[in-house]
Amino acid sequence: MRRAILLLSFLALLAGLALVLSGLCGSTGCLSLNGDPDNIAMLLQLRVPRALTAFTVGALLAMAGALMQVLLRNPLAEPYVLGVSGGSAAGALLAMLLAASISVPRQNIAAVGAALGASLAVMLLFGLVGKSLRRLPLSAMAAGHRLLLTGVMLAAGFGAVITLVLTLAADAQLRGMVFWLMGDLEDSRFLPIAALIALLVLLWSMWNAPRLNLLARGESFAQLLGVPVVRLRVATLCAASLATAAAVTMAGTIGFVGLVVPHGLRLLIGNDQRVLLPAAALAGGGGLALADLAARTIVAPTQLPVGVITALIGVPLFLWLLGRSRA
Amino acid sequence: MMVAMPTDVLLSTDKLTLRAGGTSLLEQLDWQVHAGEFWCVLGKNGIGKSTLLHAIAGLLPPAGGCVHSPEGDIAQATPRQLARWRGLQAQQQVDAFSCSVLDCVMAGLHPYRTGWGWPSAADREAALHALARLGMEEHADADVMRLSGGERQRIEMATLLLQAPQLYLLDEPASHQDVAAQQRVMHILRALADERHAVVASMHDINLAARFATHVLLIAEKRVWQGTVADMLRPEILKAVYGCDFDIVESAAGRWLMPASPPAQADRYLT
Repeated sequence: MRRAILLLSFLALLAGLALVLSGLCGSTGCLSLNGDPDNIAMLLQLRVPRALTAFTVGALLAMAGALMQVLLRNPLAEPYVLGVSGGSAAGALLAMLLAASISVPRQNIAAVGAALGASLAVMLLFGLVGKSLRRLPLSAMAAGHRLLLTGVMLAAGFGAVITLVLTLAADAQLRGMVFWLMGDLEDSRFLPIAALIALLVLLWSMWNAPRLNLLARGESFAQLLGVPVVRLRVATLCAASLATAAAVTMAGTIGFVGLVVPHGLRLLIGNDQRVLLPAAALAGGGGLALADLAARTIVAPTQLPVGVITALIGVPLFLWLLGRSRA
Repeated sequence: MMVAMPTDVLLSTDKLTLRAGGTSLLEQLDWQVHAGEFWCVLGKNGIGKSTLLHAIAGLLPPAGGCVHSPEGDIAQATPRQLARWRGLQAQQQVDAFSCSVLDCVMAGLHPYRTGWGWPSAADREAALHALARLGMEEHADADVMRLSGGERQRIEMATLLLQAPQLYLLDEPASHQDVAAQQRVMHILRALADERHAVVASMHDINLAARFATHVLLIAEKRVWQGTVADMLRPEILKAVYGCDFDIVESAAGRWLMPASPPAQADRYLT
């Protein structure tokens, strides 16, 4: 327990530093807090909201990934694997396509489309696998397969819709759509709602962490030791989907954070969900805030898509962690 | 004179009927297990031994009839109440994530935990003690994913010992164990029964059952035999269950039941 508190305090400190750094610095250099009203306005209106958005999205994605890995009992699962992100991307692009014909502002309509698409994907998923979620799998091997395969198929279907929309879109729209798909953290209007969702998901997962620990060991195993598995699995799927949908609606599909952060942390600090879930929120948030800072400053004034940075840092880091682990 | 309540009945089934897919496995089984009894469930592969254990454990709703714990029908009990009444060691353990053996074993304390469940020094002590009973204390810091099948199964048994239910259910506890470990496992199960718990274990080794169990439940396609080891482990019943002949070999250590392979079949594989 002492180790857990030390570890989480250390991570919280790092995440706080990342947040401060990313809030103060940007494409025009770092600001000093000298009371200059221009500086303060820039901080409060641009950089701080952006840093907070990055932090929230990173925390949501990392928590969703950690929960999905427990739910599917598969260390390679990630928030996008069940098609929630595909659904919201398809929804957002469809909304953009429609918006062009009836001339509504693009930003608003994309977010609405993304939220609708995500909820459609979740409803489809529950409709298709609800029955097998309500039953306790007796063979530990086959447990998550049905859910996983259904999700992968849904994601493939939404992928086709995305391709179709990109084909149909006018050239003028195409750039905006591609950038939405790569993910951007400019829009912070949904920050309060997303932050609330992140907080709720974090509280829920911390409360259920001892039970999630048993679920990670096997559905029947957890049930035998007194965990109401059927209820816990449905709730876990809901929490992970909600977190993913909130992240994607706010910032598009930023890849890699949801896979690399929880998996990498697991290799470093072990698979105790009581520590792993809050650690994932802190590391995911701090990590994405830093990645976004890098995206804004490396080739300033041009801003790189943050997804490029997460992949460029994530791939070698992950491979290195995998190489040094014993398993 | 007042009739004493049979308070030592730890498990009873009432017309329990089990099906898997479309096939009927058990029809209308009435069965009682008392404290102090060690039952071995014997029968061919696929006859329904595991299904019976899963149904008793409450993992699988029966096709008919019901299972009673001392508190009543288990269909009405919460998972936590069930976890304090019975524990089940599954036939196979499949791990997806690394975990230290000690942490793995301490999961057995979950039914008694409130709150966040940080283990105390006493919990660690108890887990180490359970591991020591199974000869696994040296592996306390090992990763469960690096253990052999038999070692992993004994870790599962240590978890079950820590869970300390009234009724111990084990699905082939001896199957992955070496000869010495089999003796150790069976000794522990018998000791649990002698401490007024009840043990139900599915087995393939008739002679292990004969040496350690007090009762046997024999499942054949059409019928079920239940009773004490001495009454039930007889060549004619075993022939009805397994479809092969058994010889009795008397030795200084006791009676051995030896399956006799039909010569015609043995020849076919040898030549």
